[in-house]
Amino acid sequence: MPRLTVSLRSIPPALLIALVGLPVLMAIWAGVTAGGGATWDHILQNRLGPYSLTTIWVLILAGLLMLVIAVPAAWLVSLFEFPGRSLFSWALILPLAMPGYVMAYAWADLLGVAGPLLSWVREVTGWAARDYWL
Amino acid sequence: MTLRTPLFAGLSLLVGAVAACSNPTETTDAPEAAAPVPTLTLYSSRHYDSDKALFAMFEEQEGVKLDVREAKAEQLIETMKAEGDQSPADVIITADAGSLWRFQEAGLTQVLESEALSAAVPEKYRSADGAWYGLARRLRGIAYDPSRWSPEDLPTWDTLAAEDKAGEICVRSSSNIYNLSLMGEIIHRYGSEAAQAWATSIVGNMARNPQGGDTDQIRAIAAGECSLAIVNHYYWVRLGASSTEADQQVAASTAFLVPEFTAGSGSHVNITGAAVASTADDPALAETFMTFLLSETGQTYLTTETKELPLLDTTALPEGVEAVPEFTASDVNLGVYGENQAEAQRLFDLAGWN
Repeated sequence: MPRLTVSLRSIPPALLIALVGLPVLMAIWAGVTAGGGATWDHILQNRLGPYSLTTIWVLILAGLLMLVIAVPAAWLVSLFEFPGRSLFSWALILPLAMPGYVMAYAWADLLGVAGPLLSWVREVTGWAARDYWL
Repeated sequence: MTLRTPLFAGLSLLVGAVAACSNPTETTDAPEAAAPVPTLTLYSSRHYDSDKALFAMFEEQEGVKLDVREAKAEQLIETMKAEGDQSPADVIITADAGSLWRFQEAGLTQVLESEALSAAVPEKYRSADGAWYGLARRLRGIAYDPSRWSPEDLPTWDTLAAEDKAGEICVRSSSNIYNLSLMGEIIHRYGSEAAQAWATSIVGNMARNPQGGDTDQIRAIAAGECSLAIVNHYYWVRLGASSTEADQQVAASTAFLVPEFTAGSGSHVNITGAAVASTADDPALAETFMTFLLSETGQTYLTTETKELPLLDTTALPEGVEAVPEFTASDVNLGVYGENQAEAQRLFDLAGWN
């Protein structure tokens, strides 16, 4: 049976984790203790429903995309040998190293109506933004 | 085993650094202590090189050191709250009267009764009790596609809510302070019911869900996704003054107008302003600084890069702003933007303006 002991060498990393985590804990604490009032009532009555639905919708969508893209990709690089397999096996992990909101902004810039992709489409085709569906 | 040593070393370095930071008195026995230079700590939500040049002039002129800390207004508020009595902040500069009000409401400002400032700043552009003073003006108006609309189609904000504008409006989200302040004046003038009805009609006229900032709305007009956008004047002016050809084209294919609320009501004006922080230990120095910002030099430097309108009529308009049409300012005191802020957000939410 493994023994649960606190070794000396686990103290420095624990301190570091505490140092990094402190602002997050403070923010949660401030949110919990400073709530209430008319604004909170309004959020509860009018906004919490839509916010929660959006969150659930994002969860479902992200889950589906993961099943369609991430799982097959992981399966392919794990079980098959093909040229470039070793490259993909680490390149596919790279997006995890990027903060989600940075990627979201980058995608929004790239695919937005005034972004490079759709601007190029309009330039080539002569369409205006409402002449096509994208 | 080999990993442990660097970790310990790293941690003790960190601890050492923290200890050094919290112990500034150690350096007082330097050979010759220089005469203390008064320091003014400025919390600013603006990020412009022209501001830096202006601040350097003030340092030179007054023999003062300016310690400038830049962050978004919300971050500055939370920082000051967390710092409490220990906050080094002396002066706060932020855009939008609604944002100044947030500082005031959080108890982070102090009243400054100043004859010089009161003489320079019209009454409507400062808080009634002297908690903040305007430094520059900004207009929230309508950017439009001139091939679709003319200013005669949009003399008032009401006409933007009319049915013939269905599917034509681009605007950013309702939680943005510029929208909240505009709504704040509408509530003040016409009451909550009419304001909510207006917002509901605007939502019905939107070309797309609110997204992006003001500049993105103007670009969307140029791209053809909508033909009307609610934006601040300087975003449009800056596109025209941009060194990028694509931006200049966006500005050239759009136009800007300044609607009234009803005929003769005057137009919605907002400000960038300053307040003396509650923790300022030398309010007189803060006043000197704010007075400097309202001098001709201060006004010029504050607006040249931002393309805001100077608060003083005597200061020349920044290049490019002459393209903004003439307007008559509303007489409403900007304090109402803050007072109606929570109600504005509530009504936006009820109207479905995300």
